[in-house]
Amino acid sequence: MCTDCGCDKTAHAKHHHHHTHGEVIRMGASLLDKNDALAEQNRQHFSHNNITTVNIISSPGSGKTTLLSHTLPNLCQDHEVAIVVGDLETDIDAQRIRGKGASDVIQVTTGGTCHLDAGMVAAALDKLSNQPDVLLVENVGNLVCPASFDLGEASRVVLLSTTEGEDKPLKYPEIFAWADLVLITKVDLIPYLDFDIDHAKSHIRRVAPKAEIIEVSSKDGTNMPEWLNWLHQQIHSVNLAS
Amino acid sequence: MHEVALIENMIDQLAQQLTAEQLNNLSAVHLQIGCRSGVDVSAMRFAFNATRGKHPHLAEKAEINIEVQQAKMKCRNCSHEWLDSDRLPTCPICSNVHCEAEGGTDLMITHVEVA
Repeated sequence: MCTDCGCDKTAHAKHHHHHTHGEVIRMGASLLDKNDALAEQNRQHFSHNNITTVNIISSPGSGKTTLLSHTLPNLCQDHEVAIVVGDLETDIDAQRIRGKGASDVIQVTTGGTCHLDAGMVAAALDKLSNQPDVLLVENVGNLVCPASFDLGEASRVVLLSTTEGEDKPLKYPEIFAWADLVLITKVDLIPYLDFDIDHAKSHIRRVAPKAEIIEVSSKDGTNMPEWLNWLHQQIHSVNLAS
Repeated sequence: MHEVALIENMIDQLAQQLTAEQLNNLSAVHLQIGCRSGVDVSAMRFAFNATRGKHPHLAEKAEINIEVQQAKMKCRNCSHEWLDSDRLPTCPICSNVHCEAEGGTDLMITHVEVA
């Protein structure tokens, strides 16, 4: 009798017939091991070179590129800033940001991949002409996938625009839970929308109790100094740590 | 649809860690997917079935078996602690919806079965 499963085959034959329970091989392997290893390399590179890296995520059209183009003229007065922009196709976003003061604007065209991964950021770093002290990564517009892929960043920002409605944090809890800062963008449009900002904040706090929240408008400048202050705090803490 | 990237990585890992004979006789891959990992279980199954054709070294009969890992929840009102896989948990004691979640973010191949 087979000692493995008790069937009537001899022990000698047990390797040649199919047990329904089979041989179990323990793996304990992460599905993100490759990305996580590359993210760790990026993180060490950022740390050794005193680079503050911020990963910025939102739905398409919630104002990432506009926010960056209104942030750079001020931020670049005191810092060497590089931008990595991820999109499925085109370099339109990079074109919109160029000329605003960043030392480099690197467009990563993912060719259909719905997120940036640590390897794409590492490849973009090789293209930088100057060593920055701030690296802002505008991730692919997507509220699901980018949260799974660590890029080696110090901080994570998620944008929620008023035109998207206040329920987004409940529909996409993982991405908001992942954020250090949630920027509620396009607040200048609130008078024309049925957007309840208190509900939006309550939803954000439900899924991301530790995230900071700032209401901004790139268009009319509302709370842009607070956003810049937040960025300066991140730069300060990275510099303290290294 | 980052599940395709995760499945591709899974197949790479199997190819690295198993022998050609084991891959050829692979009957099941067991995954543990955290409820807060942002990964959709049905999309993982879809991605596996959509991409496996590109990997002829993988046994045709191999299936994936997904166990959803729960997160440790703590109610911010009454401090009750429990395990839950709900992405928007409600405290079973006081019905508060503001809870802190810990864990439930694993994306692991726990083990495989070879026939």
